[in-house]
Amino acid sequence: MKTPRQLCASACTLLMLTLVVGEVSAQRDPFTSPRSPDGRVPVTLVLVSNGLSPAIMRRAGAEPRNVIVLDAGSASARQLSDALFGLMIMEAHDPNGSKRSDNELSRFRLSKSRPVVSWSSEALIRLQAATTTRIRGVGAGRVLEVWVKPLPAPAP
Amino acid sequence: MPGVSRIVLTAALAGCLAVLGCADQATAPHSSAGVQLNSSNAHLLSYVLRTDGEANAWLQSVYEAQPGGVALFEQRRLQGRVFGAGGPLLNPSEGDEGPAVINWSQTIVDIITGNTHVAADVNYYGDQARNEMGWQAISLTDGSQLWSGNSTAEGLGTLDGGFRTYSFTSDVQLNLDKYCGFRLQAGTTHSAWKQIRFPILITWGQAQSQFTVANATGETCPPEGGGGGGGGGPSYTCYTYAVDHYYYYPDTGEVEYRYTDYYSWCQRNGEWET
Repeated sequence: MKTPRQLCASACTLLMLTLVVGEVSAQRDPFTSPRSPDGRVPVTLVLVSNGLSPAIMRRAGAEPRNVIVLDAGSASARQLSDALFGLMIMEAHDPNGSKRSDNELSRFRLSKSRPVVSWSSEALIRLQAATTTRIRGVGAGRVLEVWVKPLPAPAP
Repeated sequence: MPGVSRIVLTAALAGCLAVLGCADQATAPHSSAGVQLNSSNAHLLSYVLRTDGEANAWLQSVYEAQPGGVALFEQRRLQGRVFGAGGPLLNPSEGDEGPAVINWSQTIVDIITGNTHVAADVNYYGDQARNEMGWQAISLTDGSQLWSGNSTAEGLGTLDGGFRTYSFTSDVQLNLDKYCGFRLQAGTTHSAWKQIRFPILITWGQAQSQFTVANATGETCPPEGGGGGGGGGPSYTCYTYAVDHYYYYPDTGEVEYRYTDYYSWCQRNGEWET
């Protein structure tokens, strides 16, 4: 039989655990913006109907600054994964953003396939269900913001 | 009017030489040749040939992004000059009918990811110059020749050093499938001559040429991804990522291709966790 004092301590512990677990899972969730900066990079996915391969925009001033434009007819989890990987490579090579431009768009080719990002399929499902929004300089499309961990320091 | 008479005399002399077939035909202009993409330079994906102001501006932009910046590059360019046998030309006493003189020349090679290039400078007294560049990539592992190429460019250049004295710069940017595992050596034959274009092109003046060389050693390539087994050392997974850059018109959504960058990325012991 627990005393009221013990019961109170257990309830507090449970509450603290809930808060901590909730905080950690929120921080790891790529679909939730962090409550405070955690080093992850915000990336805006835009689904349009252009029949083109994915494009990456690293914009200098215009918001959103990191944009991946995907074609609704052909977007796949692999395409999205490679685009995210490519964006993070460019970010790692240009951490100060000196190569960013509001008038530049990039397409990419990877030398060999790499594992698909675990949440990329879910991101596409959410993107297809997202509301249509007009993004300045890009146009109208379904928009989803994801938060991506940067690449670790390169191998020596 | 000694100046006018000298010009008339020079034109007459040049015309006479041309008629008699005595003009220095070895220096006659020929069309600039780009790099031939073939099986011997399979690692060469594309190239850009620049001359004069465009080459100088591009070289400056490349070095601005490098450690030491433009100041270090200018220092290197000064130190790398090879002066002609007669030294810098201070007082061309032989006049218009005399030969062209090469004051100094040099070849520059740099292996920079995305900006690997072979460049040549020639400073001369005359009317036209030519840089004939050739290069070879030598494997760092077995010393074999991996690929090679050559390119020729000619032009007037920019005034640099006084009356009728110019510097002519040419630069070839090599876009490669990888920027490691080789040493790049290059050499240039520099030429200069005098010419008049009216009423017909006549060239004269002993073309003086020198051969300058330069070397650059690249980094060894990181091990190819993951394989090998045993040993217990770190495993690597390496990717090459080609990015085609387009100019983008936000108002219309139109795009124009500009250039391609190549990035490499090696991951040790595991993958990127998103």
